Amino acid sequence: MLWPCTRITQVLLFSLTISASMVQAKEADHVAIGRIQNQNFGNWAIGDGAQSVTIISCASSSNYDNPYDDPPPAVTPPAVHLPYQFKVTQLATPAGHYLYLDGDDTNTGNARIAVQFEHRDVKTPSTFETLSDNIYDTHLHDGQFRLCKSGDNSELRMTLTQAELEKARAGTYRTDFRAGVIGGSSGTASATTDFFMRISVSTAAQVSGLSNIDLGVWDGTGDLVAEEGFCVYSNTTDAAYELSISSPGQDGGGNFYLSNPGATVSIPYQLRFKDDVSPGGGVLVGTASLTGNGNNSVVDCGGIDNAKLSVTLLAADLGAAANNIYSDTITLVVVPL
Amino acid sequence: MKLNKMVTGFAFAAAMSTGQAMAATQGALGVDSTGTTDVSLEIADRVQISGVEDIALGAWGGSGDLAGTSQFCVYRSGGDDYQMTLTTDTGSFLVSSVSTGDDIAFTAKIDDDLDASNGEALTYNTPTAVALTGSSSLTCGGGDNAELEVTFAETALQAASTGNDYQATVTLYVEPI
Repeated sequence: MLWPCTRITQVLLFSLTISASMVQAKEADHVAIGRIQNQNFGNWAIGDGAQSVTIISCASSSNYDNPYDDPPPAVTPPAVHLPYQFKVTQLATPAGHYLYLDGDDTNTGNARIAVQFEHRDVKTPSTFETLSDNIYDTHLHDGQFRLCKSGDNSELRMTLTQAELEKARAGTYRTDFRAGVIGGSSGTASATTDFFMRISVSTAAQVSGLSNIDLGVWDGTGDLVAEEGFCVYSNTTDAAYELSISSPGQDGGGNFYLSNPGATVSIPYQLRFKDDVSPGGGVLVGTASLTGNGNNSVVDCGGIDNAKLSVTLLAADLGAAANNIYSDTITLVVVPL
Repeated sequence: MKLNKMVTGFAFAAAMSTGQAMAATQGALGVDSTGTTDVSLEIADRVQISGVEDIALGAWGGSGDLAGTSQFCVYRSGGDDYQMTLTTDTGSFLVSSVSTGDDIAFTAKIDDDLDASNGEALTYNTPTAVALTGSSSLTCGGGDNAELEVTFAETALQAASTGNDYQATVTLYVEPI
């Protein structure tokens, strides 16, 4: 049953081969772009630095739609390379070149990552030209014959800068793009190819804006209270974080103490935490870690504190302390949740 | 005869700086982030004398020495030591009478417990030589921790003219040491 079918196929293929060789070269308005592979950068974490990849593909632009070698055969009119220009268009509603968190092109701010596309032609080396969204570059490059049998020529560099990645919210980013060329005999023939870029950004946090808490000299009356505001950044969706607070002056029960330089005398103090800067002390800090919600848009919170520590020393404890200088070092460890 | 007490305390702010602390450190951006802040405080030398009352000795009976005491509280930061200096508005350890124009000398003793009879005898306007220990509580725990005793010798009393207005105001000046 299989033999007759196989024979028919062989006959058809032979017939097609004969037809192709009989076609004479004919001038055509040719432009084409080879496939650009999808770019999945995988997981990215702080310290991984900028991500960049260069793709070299075929951008052909000529007056014949034939895969000629260089030099081409003698045909009339002569087969020649023609100029082409290159562009990348973001297949999303907003203008620009961005990767969007969860592929949602309504995201803005640090829920999208700017992509830098640069292009040059490797056959006629020049500096990379940065591309704007959906706008052809300004260079006229040397288009090859179809299929670039003398070598691929179009070099596209895609870069996600470290700064963009470090400030990005955690999650997976993806956007579809379309690379296009224009050229050919008419100068207006065009061709495109689609690809996507994807990267997953790991969770990250930062505590900043801390200053020392100098309580000064106790005047001999009343409790001493001081507050210190700071910034907590967490790149998770709701900016949630876990905060562990400890100090060398903390005992096993979670109580905090200021100590003199020889650590022979100590003064107890209450330490409270709040994940905002509204009035009031907040939660009493002990041995257990705490949770809060910070800023997930700007790493330094734009210089605006969003959490605070409150230190309270009671007059009775201060009065019982001998003259000296007392201190403690509070350590805050923030982990994104 | 009455001794009025004026109370003075001297707080010595030591020229120490709380600037020993290192600068706060900021966390780096990462999978976790650690920052530090130093808390610092200076407790200066402080003393406070409180709870002092007048010593009303009443009328002398005509024989024997006449003594009176006042118990009070001396707070000293950290419960450390202090010294005390006594002066009067009469210029020495004397009570004076406006009506008679006479003076009566007295002696004074101080101790950092509630029995000054065995305490240090004071020289006028001269700090105590023996260190006295204060309380680390501003209120001395609600009680007293020191006593001043003044004594009028029988001979001095016998020499004085009759009068009911012998008095002096004694100033107790406390300093941390």
